[in-house]
Amino acid sequence: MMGWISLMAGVVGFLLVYYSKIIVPPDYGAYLSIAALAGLDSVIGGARAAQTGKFKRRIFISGFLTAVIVAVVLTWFGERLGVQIFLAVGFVFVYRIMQNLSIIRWYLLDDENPSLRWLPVGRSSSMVEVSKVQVGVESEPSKT
Amino acid sequence: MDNPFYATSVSDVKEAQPVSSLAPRWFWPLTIMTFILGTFIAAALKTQNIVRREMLPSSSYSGLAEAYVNYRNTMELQQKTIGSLQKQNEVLVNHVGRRSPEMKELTKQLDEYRFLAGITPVQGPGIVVTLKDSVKRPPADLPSQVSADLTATFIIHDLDLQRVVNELRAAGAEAFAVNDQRVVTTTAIRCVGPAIQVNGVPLTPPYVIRAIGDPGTLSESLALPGGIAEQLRQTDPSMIQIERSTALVLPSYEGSLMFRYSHPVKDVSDTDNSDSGDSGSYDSAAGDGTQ
Repeated sequence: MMGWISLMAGVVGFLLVYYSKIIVPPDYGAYLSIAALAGLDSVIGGARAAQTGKFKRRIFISGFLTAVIVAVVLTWFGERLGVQIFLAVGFVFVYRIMQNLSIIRWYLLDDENPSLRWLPVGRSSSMVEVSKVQVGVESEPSKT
Repeated sequence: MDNPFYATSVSDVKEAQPVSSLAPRWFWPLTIMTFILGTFIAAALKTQNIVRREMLPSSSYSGLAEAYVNYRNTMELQQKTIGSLQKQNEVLVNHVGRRSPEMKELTKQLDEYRFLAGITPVQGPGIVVTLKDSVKRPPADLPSQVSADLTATFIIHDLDLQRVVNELRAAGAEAFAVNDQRVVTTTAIRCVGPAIQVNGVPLTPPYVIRAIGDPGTLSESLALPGGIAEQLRQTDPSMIQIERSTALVLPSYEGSLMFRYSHPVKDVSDTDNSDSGDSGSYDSAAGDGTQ
C-alpha cells in the first residue's frame, strides 16, 4: 500500500516538471537521461530492499546519489574520450532494473504474502520459484 | 516457512517497524527519491523532445520553403532584368549601326553571331515533340520494389529530354527550345528533385521540345527502331507525341552567356609570329632568295 503512495509521488514529480516551464538545455539531454536511468535503478533497488526487508536509509540515499553522479560523470568522460560509455552504463542499469523487478515480483506474488492470500496461486510451484530467487539474492550482497 | 530467507526478512521488517509507527522505515526515503526520479524522467523526456524536434529537418521545412520562394523570385526578377538589358543593348547597337557603312557591316556580323548563339528569337519549319508522364499506375498487387521501378518508367526523366534533343541535333536540327527555354551552348538539361531544369529554370510537364530543321528528317530520326520514341511508346503511347510544323518561332535565350575561364586562342598568324624568331628569319631569307 505504502509502495503505491511512493509511486504516486513519482508520478506527481513527473507531472509537476513535465507541465512546468522548466527546460534543461538540450546539450545536457544525454546526461539527464542517464541520470534518470540511474535514479530508476536505485529506486527500484530500494523498493526491492524494502520488499526483502533489507532497506537501510543511508545506503539507499547514498546509493541513489552515487549512481546518478557516477553515471553522469562516466557519460561525460565517455563523450570526452569518444567512447560511448553511456551505452554500457545504460546496459548495466537496465540489467539491474530487470533483475530487481523480477525479485520484487516474486516477493509480491509469493504465497506467504498475507495480502495476496485471495490469489489462486499454486503453492508448490511458487515455493520452487522463491527458492530460485533466494539463490540469486544471496549470491549478491546488499544491493541498494 | 520452509524458506529461511523469506522468514528472516519478514521478521526483520516486523522488528524494525512497530505497529505504532505510521510508516515503514523505507517509506519516506523511497517516496522522496521516487519524486526526484519522476522529475528527472520528466525533464529528460522534455529535453529529448526538444532535441528530436530540432534535429529533424521537418521543423525547418517551412524555413526552407520560404528561402526557396525568395530565391526563386529573385531569380525571376534578375532574369527579367537580363532580358530588358539585352533588348536595350540591341536598340543601342542598332542605333550605332546606322551611323557608318563599317558600323553597318559590323552590326550585320554581330546579328549573325547573336543568331548563331541563340540569343535572338528564330523561326522556321521543324517538329514539336511533346513528352508527358503516363497516367498509368502499376498494378496494386506487385511487390513495392517492382512497383517503384515500374512507376519510374511512367515518368518523363531528364534523360528522355536529353535523348530527344541529342537525336534531333544529330539529325541536323538547328535550334531547340524546351518549353520556353532555348537550348544554347551552355544549356544543361538535368533533374533537380522532382523537376527537370533547363537553363537552371524548373519546367513543368508536359515538356514540349520544339526543334527547327527539316521536319521529315527530324521526325524520322526519332522514329528509328529502338529509339527513344519507340521505347516510350512501349511503356505508354501517350507519353510522346510528334508533330511536324511549317512555322515555328523559338524564343531567345534569356540568361547570360558569359565565359569566365575560357578565352579564344589567338589568331593563327599571331601564333606563327610569336612562335620563334627562327621561322621569321627563315621567311625573310626565303624572301631574299626569291627576290
